[in-house]
Amino acid sequence: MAGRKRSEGFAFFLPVLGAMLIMPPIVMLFDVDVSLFGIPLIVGYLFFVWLFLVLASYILTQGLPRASAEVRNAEPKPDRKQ
Amino acid sequence: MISANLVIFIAVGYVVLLFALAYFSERWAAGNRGHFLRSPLVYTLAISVYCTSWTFYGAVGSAARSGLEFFAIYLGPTLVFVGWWFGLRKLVRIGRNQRITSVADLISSRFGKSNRLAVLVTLIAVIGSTPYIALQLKAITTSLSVISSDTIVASIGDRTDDNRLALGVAAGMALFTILFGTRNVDAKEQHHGVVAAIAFEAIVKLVALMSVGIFVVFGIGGGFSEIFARAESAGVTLHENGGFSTRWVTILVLSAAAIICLPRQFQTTVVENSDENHLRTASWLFPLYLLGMSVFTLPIAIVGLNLLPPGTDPDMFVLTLPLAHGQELLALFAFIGGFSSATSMIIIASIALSIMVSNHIVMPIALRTPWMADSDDGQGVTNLLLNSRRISICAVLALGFLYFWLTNGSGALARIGLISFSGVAQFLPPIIAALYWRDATAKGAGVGLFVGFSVWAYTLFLPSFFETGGVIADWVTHGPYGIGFLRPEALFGLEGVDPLVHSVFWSLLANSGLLVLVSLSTNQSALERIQSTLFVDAFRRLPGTETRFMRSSAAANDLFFVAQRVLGAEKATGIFDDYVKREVGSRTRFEPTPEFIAHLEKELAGSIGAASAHVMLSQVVSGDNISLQEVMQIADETQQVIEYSQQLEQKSEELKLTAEKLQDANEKLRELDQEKDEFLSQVSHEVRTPMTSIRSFSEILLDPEGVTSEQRQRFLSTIHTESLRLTLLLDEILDLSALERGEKTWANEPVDVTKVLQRAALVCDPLAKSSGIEVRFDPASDAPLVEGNGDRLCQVFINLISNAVKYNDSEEPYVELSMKQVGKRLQIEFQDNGPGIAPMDRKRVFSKFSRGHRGVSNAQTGSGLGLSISSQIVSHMNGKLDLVRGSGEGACFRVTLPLAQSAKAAE
Repeated sequence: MAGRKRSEGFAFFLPVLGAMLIMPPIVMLFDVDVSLFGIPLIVGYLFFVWLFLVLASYILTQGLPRASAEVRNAEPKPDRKQ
Repeated sequence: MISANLVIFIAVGYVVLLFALAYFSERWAAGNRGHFLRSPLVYTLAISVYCTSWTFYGAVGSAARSGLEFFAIYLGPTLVFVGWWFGLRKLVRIGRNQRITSVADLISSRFGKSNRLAVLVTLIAVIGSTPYIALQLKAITTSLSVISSDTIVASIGDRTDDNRLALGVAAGMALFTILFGTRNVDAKEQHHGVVAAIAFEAIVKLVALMSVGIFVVFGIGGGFSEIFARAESAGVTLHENGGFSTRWVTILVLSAAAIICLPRQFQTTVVENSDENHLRTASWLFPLYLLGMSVFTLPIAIVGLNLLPPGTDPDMFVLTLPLAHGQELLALFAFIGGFSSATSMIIIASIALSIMVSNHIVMPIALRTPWMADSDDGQGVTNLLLNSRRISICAVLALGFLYFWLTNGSGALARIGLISFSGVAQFLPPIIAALYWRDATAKGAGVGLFVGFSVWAYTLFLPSFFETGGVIADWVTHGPYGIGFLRPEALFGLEGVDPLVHSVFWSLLANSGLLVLVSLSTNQSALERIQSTLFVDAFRRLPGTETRFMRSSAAANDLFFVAQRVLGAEKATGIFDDYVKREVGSRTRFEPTPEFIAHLEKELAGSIGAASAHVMLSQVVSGDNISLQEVMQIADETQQVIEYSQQLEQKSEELKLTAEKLQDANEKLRELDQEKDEFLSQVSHEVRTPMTSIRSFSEILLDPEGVTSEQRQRFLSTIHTESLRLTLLLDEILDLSALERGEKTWANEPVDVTKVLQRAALVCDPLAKSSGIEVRFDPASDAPLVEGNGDRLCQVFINLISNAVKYNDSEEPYVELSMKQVGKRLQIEFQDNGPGIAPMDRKRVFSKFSRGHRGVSNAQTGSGLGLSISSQIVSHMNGKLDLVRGSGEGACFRVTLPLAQSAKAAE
């Protein structure tokens, strides 16, 4: 359970972190006339953050529980209890 | 140049391919071979309908015009999908549980199945999406004229798009959508054929764009770094051009909202979802897809600006670059890619809109029209539904075409896209409230939506017709009727802000502000309250358990009639039979329970939307909803039951603890009882010995003749000694019992231990002398005072010394008394060189009537109470009497006593 709680924490944190990284003021830090291997820093930075989010999301998803078969497949049935 | 007819022929061929694909997919899905169609990959590819021709062509144009802005369009959705666990997962779960058919259905269902809200949302969606469909038509016609014309230079407006072609495309798409989008009224509105076609188109457009990108970067551009080095000369400034201002943030928010609120996105993400776990894959694969779509955007824009003659439309660089380099085949492939992205958007958008229009506008009207409602034909409603959907598709596409026709030759593609985004972004506040805010009311959502939408229409949609001139241009420049304060692009005097930011700010502020204000000041109806719980607590309950608040009854025949009209006879019979088989057992005893009615309503909602299903059933169900008061009462009762059971749990926990304590106490009592029994038997034994000798000597003395006077003297003295012993014993017992009861007959006072020791040694001196034992004592003059009682302490010391004397059988017997101060206590030790105390006896020497077993050399044994009494006395002086491991081999008793207050103070 502790693992799941941690994964959920990261699942909440990741989009928040992503939003912070691509919004001012942090993104402004990279908005300068510098090139890395011929690619403008800001372009490289945005693609890097993007790729990081993809990878982090992929890794994170492995730690999150799958929806149970009952929830996924069963067509909602009328309540059986009377 | 490629001939227009050839291009059209290829496009038609491509559409035929789509038809075939959709047709076979439907057949596979119907059979059991459709596993692939329900895979997470297909699901993710279908979601990428987000990338329309606006992305395919427009992103490059946007990059050429305003640098990095296009990133924001993709980063917003990326964030939403990365955060799927908290947003999309809940949306999909609710969509599945509640059989949601569209974004309008979602909002209407949450706010008490309100039909008015559904109509409002549907209208906004249609108005917001029509320009977007027009945009796709425009992309197709423009790209066709570019690829088939002999010059690539054409300024905006130069090139009139072919209206006939646009009409043809619209008609073709209408045909496709009608064929595969309205084949049946499905309970879950899933269209496997369409989804398969969309997924295929997603691959085509990705591969096409990447091929062009690779050709541009490595074929003519000379690699990434080479291209970026030329950015400056091309007029593209990538840094420090103010790109990350409020507009950047606004577009991020808009695109994040659009990925949820756009009718087509809602359709693919929520409605067409067949397995919640597919989101797990989509959460990273969809952002990756978007990344792939935009890797080459900037290089294409830079190279286009660099190499192509000025005046070339940047929106068409994807086509004109290959064309300018004689790569006609590649250009044709790119055209097909753009065609794919346009058609996929048109198909899904028109399906989603037609479901909304037919469920929320046509059906409610039909249900209220007597001749429709009374039709006896079992297929009436089904046919009505399908036909209204077909007509809706045609109407939506016709509107799109009309818009295209009217605005032909004006405006850039990207602008229309963002206008559309900010229109549907008005759904965001009610959706968030639907998922997370229990107290949001239908009135709040309605007022917020209406005002937000109106503000959007006034500040953004209206000014987009600026170029048509006339009144609109006048209003935009000078304000309505010359009131500058109300100018659409500077509302309330807010000037100098980007028009998009301006409009999004005012509309979303009004929307969410009114949603909150009105919700807080109005009450929810019973149905709203029930629905809000179902939505907000979607993860807390299993499907099917939500009907307990409904109390309704209806005749089975009426229900069946309604079900048959909507779902068709076959499906309705299926539902009823299934229920009868599972719950009742026989058809004759079938009574529709509230659960069954709720289940049926949900099945109907899957076809005609929650609001219409509710209206239809409430015509035949009597007493359908219970009042708010009753709901509250039930909720209160439930709350009380929960609290009561929690109290019970707590009580039982307490009881358990008490029982454990009782058990412990019982155990202790048992031990004490046994101790008491032992004590009594020992006392009797101890008393009996002297009594026996007293009695026997007395008997001898009663016969005066056989006893000499000398003997009599001896006997009498024995009797005397024995009675003394007896008295002593009884005294000791009384003393001990008093001490054990906690009685203390003395007051603690400062005592000089040295003096007490001397006194005790003096008392024991005769005894020691007679036994030949040396009492070694070196009185220290400076010993501190202790807290205690001199006489009682003396008694303890005498007891300890006499014990040491009595049991000592060594050659040179001695007792050594010593004392030392340890912290705030004084330790007095009595060390002898006797036999010591056997380990097995060490524990019980302090208990009553126990005597050391070893070294009992003479008959002079004590009562066995001495140590017991001493221990009690010392503990009453807050001290301690222990048997310690001394320096020699003999026994060593230690008395520890607290120093007197004055002594402590003196230190």
